[in-house]
This record gives sequence, C-alpha cells and structure tokens, in this order.
Amino acid sequence: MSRSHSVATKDTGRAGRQRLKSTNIKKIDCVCLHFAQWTVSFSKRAFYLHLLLWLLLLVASLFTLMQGSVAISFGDFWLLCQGAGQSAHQLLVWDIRWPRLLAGVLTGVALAAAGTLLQQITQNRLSSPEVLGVNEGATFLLLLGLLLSPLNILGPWWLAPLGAVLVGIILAFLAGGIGGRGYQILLVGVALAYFTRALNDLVISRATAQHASAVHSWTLGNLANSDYTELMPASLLLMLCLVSAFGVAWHLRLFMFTEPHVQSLGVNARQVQFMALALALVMAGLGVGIGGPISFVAIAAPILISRWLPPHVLGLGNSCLLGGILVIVADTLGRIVLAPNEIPVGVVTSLLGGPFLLWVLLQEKEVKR
Amino acid sequence: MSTEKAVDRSLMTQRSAFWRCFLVFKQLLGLSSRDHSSWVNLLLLVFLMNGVLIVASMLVGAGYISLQDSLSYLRSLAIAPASIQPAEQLPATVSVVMETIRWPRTLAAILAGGSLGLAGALMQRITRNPIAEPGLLGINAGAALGVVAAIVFFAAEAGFPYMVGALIGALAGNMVIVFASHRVQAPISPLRLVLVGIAVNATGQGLTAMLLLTKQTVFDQFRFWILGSLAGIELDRVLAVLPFTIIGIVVALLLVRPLAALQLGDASATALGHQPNRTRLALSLVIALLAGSAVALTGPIAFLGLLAPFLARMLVRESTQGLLLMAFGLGSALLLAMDILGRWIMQPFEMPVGSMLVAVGAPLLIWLVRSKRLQPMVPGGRRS
Repeated sequence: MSRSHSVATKDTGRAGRQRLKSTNIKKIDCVCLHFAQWTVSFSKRAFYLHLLLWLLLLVASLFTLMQGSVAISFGDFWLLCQGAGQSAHQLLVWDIRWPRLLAGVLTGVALAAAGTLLQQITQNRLSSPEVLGVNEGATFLLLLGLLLSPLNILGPWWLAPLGAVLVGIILAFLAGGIGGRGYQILLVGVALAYFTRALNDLVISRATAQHASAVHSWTLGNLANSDYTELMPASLLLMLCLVSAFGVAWHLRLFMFTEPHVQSLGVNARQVQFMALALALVMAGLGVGIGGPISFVAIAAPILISRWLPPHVLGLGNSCLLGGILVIVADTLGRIVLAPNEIPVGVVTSLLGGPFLLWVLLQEKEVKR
Repeated sequence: MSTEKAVDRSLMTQRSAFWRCFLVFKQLLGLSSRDHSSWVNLLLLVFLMNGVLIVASMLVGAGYISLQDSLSYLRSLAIAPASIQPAEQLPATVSVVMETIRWPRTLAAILAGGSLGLAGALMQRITRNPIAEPGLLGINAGAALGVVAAIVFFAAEAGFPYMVGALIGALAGNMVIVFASHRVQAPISPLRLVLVGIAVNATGQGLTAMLLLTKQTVFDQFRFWILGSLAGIELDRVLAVLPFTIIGIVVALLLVRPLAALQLGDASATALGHQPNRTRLALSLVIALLAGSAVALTGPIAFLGLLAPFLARMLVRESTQGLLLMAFGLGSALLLAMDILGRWIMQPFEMPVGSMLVAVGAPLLIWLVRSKRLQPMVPGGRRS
C-alpha cells in the first residue's frame, strides 16, 4: 500500500532541485499512498513535526492556564478540571484565562496561516501581513468604528477582515500585481503600513483621553480583554477559511516553480493565486479582529517551519500550530516577566521578532530577479 | 571694508528693495555674488522661506489667541522693543504664550527638522541608497529608546541627559545599519536595507513600549512625544540640544570632501587619498549626533530625512556641500510648515507633526520604489 518514492527529485525542475540542495535533508522522506488512480504523497518529517507541535501546544496551554500573576499548582488545577476547587480559581481559570488562551491560539493560527499563504504566493519569505500593512488596515477600520460609534467601543470584529481586504486591494493596485516582484511589493507595503499607522494615530489622538490609553494598548496587540461573544462568530469564519486554505494549499505548493510551470501542470495559476490572496487577507483580518495586531508571528512561524521540512511541503498545518504556540507563549511571558505589570503580547512578539527578522535578512542570500 | 563696499555697490545698482535685502543677506553670509553656481541663490531663497515660516509659526496656534493679538505683539517687538510695554496694550497671556510656547516650538522645529534632513542626506550618501533615512532605518527608534531608558533608569529630567541617552541609542541603531549595509561578501540592496530598518525599529519600539508601560506616569508624559510631536517643548531643552546640533552640522561640513569622494566608490576614494572606512565611521557619528538631537527634542519623526534630501537633490545637482545645506534648510522648512499645518487643520486639537509627515512621505516612498530612480544610485546598477 505504501512505498518510499523519490517524488521530489524526479518531478521538480531546476529551481526545486536547488532548493532541495540548500536544505540539509539527506534522505527523501516521502510516503506515497496509492488508491486506484489517485496518488497522495506525505512527508514523514511533516507528520512527526505535526505530532510534536500538538504536544507542545498542549503543554503551552496548560502552562498558560496555570501561570500568571496568581500561580495555580498542578493539584489545584486537576481539581478545577473535575469541576471542584476554589471559586476564585474557577473564575480565574475558566472565565479569564481560558477565553484569553482561546483568543491567543486563534489569533496565532489565523496570522500564521495568512503569512504562509502570502509567502508562498509572492515567493518571498519576508512578505507577511504586518510588513505589507494589512494588519494596520484591519486596525484602521476597527478604530474608525470606534470613532463613529456613540458608545466609544471598538467596531465589531467583522470590520477587521474588511479593512485587511481593502488594504490588500490597494496594495495590489499600487504594486502592480502581487506575485513575483521581489522587494518592490514589500516596500510599497511598508510605505502603506506607515501611512495607515499615521491614520490610526490620528484616530487615537481624536479619541477622548480616558479611551486613548486603552485603545493604544489594544493597538499594540493585547489579549487582555478577550471574551466569548466576539470569539464565536469570528472563529467560525476562521475555520471556514482554514478549510478552504488547505484546499488551495494543495495547488499552492506548486508555486515554488515559475508560473508557466504551474500552468503547464494543469493548474489555473491566476485563480489559485487570487483565492490564496483573498483567504490570506481575510484570515489576517480575522487574526487582528480577535487578538489585535500582533506582529511577527505571521512571518516567523512559516520561516521556522520551513527549516525543518523538505522544500516541497508547504507546512500550512504545522505553521498554524506553531503560530498558536508562539502567541500564547509570548502572552504568558508578557504576563509573568514584569508581574504584576502586564506587557501586551504584541510588544513581546515585536521585541523577539525584530532580532529574528534581522537574522533572516542577514543570513539570506540576495534574491536575484 | 571690502565687504561693505561691495554691499554699497550692489545696493546702488539694484532697484528692488527685496533684491537689495537679499544681496545684503548674501554678502553677510560671505557668499560673493560672483559665485555663479546656482544653488547659492536657491539656498538663500530657502532660508528666506524659513524666515517667513518662523513668523507664520509665531502667528498661528491651536489656542484662543487671535491673529491680531499675536501680530501686534510681534510688531511691538520689531518696532521698539524697549519703549513700548506689550503688557499694557495686550493681555498678559499673549506674551506668555509667545515666549514660552510658540518661540521654543518654532526654534525646535528649525533645529530638529534641519538635523533630520541633514542626517538623511548623509545616510543616503554613505549607504548609497536613496531611500535611507534615520526614521525608516530605525536610528530614531534607537534614540527614542535611549531617551526613555535614561528617564526610566536614571531619572533623567533635563535636556543634557536626554541627549546622552539619545546619542547612545542612535549610535547603536546606526551601527546595525552600517554593519548590515557593508558586509563584504553580499552587499545589501536598497530595498532590503529598509527591511533591516523594520527589524531595528520593531526591537526599539518594543523595548520602548515595555519601559513606558512599566512606568505609567512616564507614559502619560510621553504619549505625544513618542508619536513625534513639537507640542510642549521648553526653551531649556532646546538650548541644551543646540550645541550638539551645531557640532553635527560643522563636522558634516568639514567632511564634505571625503564624502564627495566616497560617492565615486571606495576604490576611487582611496586613490584620491581618503580613507573610506574612517569617513563612514565619522559620518555615522555625525548622523547619530544629528538624529539623536532631533529625537531628544521632538520624538521619533519618520520620513523627513527622506523628503528633504529628495527635494534637495532636485534643486542641487553637483555640489555635495550645497546638497547638505539645502537638505538642512528644506528639512527645517518642511517640519515647520507641517507643524503649522498640524496646529491649524483640526483646531482646537493638534495633529502630531510626525503623522503629518508620514501622510506626505509615505506616498513619496511608494512612488520612489515604483520609479526607476532607485536604480542609478546603486553600485553596479543592481535591479531589485
């Protein structure tokens, strides 16, 4: 039923072989399953990594639930899981930390998925929602909702994906297309991000003084005020997007070759690109809508995952898991390090993400286009 | 003596009063009218524009003082400073506002704007990158981090300790950029250098936000400073920063010749008897000094270092000296103009001048990235 098979070396073109050489995977680790006329290939490494990441997510979640300004011992936590335990602890874990954990995981998953798709479409490891200004666009519409609402609350969550898509359209228009333009699209995105951030600052400076501080802390990326009412509809839409993203990812793997190659394999490249872009934008927006603009998760998760996987594997599921782990770990770190003060998760990720980006930039060879 | 004679002669030959003032100004600055390079005239024009903007800045404000009052205050100063007591005719608030709010603010705009413009021009020359800029490349973020660290850890309260913090932070940011842009094996393209800047920016801003969040009082005090704003600047702070700015400008002008040689490439510069690495090191210090002094005054302001040298390059083509001076003049003019606009467009609120500049600068960056202008300044004409 299954046999090892060197799919990657046989079917890839020159570009694929070069990428194979550059990774330090000695052995081809494909497992091919044959059913009648269909053949499905899996990467063993990807599968093991997947299991490992689920385990890590579980450990990180337990850590998040138990640690904080009030630490809960393992015995107490076991009691809580059975529905017993102190009422204060029950309140703390189930009403405060649990929604926060959920929001963190969902945000991380959404952002990492968006980052993976964007990096694959543009074939550039540095394109991600925060570099391209998509996160800022989502934030902008939410803030605009705040300015226009009579109650001075942030706009409803669905404004965020709308803003993300809007910025995506402007970006594609200004950069003259989305795929294969090297650093030009990134720089246009950077400028767009600056511009939108200035608009955000403008909206904040018009907000009343007592709101300004809270809103500012939200724009840094903050999970502190997560609750179920916002989470449910957003997470439903996110699940829908994720399922479609896995469908698109199947064809998207081929974008490691040039576009003519993709076309000749019988895939409508434009259509796949467009679908993936739309999904990436909506998911980035959802991430911002759920947890606020948390930077560098979307860029770091796919890059880290790609170091452990063979180049023909997109690793969308792995990236999503890692994104969730990164966000909740960063959030927990932010709560613990300077307790009782809380550092917003976005601050922690940008602190750690800056050096990471620098490392990626300096070790990467110049892209020739 | 000879200068006076030359002034007299030109006063006789020229008829227009405006032109006469212009010539006197030129002669006093020691620039002879026989110098036919066109940038001198343009430069003087820019400085005159700065003068006009200073007056405008004294007249316009977001507060409740009418234009008439401020105008008559200025007139009383100009006509007879000693004999007329402004307090007798005008409400006391007018002179207070003028002397403690608008004047320091105007002065700060001139200093910080000019410093950032000059720093941008220098950076673009030494990185050979037309979109290099202290704000985009994270030097301002480093300086801001230095200032906040000085406040939080050493309880710094005056201009001088701010300045030291800003200088150290700006130097740290600049070192990363210089390191990244001059690795021997793989020279970095202009566009990627900006991404390095994003990394530096993110780290600096993250640390700054963390420090500010631990001290709520400091955060309240610096909420607007961190966006880049000229509001609430005191004269002491301006005067504390002034010497550093002047040193920066003077050293930059002394290094004009090595800088011009650097433009030809390292090999040619060495052949001409300069030491490219030393020049770059010295200029990095100057950039840190200029950017640091600007940030200590106004907070991190982005895009000014991009806009001013860009406009200056359109006006001055050959002369490096002219380019630097022009970048300084245009930087102050731009910051001052944007500040006046920011005070005026949404009264009684004020728009932070940093946001105003981004609104103008970001479209320019997009245009620059899309245009072919980015290519010629890159050694070897690398397409990116």
